[in-house]
Amino acid sequence: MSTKLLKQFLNNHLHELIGFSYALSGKMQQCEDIVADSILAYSFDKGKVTFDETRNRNLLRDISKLIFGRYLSKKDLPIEEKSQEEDAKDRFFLLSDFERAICFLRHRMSLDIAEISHIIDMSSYEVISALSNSRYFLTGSELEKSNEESL
Amino acid sequence: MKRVFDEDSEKVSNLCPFSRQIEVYCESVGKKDPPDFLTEHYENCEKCRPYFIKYGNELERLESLIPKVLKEDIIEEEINILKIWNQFRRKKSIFSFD
Ligand SMILES: [Zn+2]
Repeated sequence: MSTKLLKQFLNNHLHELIGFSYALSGKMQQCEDIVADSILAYSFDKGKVTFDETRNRNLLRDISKLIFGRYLSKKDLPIEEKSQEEDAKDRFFLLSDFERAICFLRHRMSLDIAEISHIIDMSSYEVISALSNSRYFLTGSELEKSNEESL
Repeated sequence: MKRVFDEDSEKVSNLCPFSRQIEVYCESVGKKDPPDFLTEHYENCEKCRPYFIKYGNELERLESLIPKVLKEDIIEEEINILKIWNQFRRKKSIFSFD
């Protein structure tokens, strides 16, 4: 296991993984721990894991899946009420867990529908539907029509 | 029922064939260079241009609402994770029998 390769991986993707964790929890303090736990769990689970992206194209996808699982498993613990302000930034956090995850994976991490389906365990139909619902909720526009046209 | 179908097929035949690529084009900006012929087409096609601009603006608005973490804001986190990783690796080699 090479630290150099991990360093390279973190340099390319840590902002995406921490961003994904933040998009789920809305709390920056927890993100580092969740991401570090997920990376360690991934390495431990896979044994001789390599962070060489040219040899392991599913690295980012699989670690994102662990982050999502961790978030859902901790979610049932009592957490303080989310503010319901209609501020633009808060509007994102009014989406469901799954919608926030899908939006972030698609628009910030540029993952495709099949990769997103794998991470959150949903069919591609459900992913596309959640994507267009959240677009509609966030922008209040008819963007999703273009989805139907292009299908 | 038939009338609805006729209206739909009329709507479809009125669409420019290039309009189907607008979404893919807008979403791929920043990821890879979209082909030049499409850029030229969207600049000049009367049918596509308004929709292209509308879709691009909406997408920009949508993306501005999704949280973003910048690389320069997480330098400390990167160092911490590398530290944890190295500790974990050392512990693992102490307790590992292979
Ligand atoms: Zn056109």
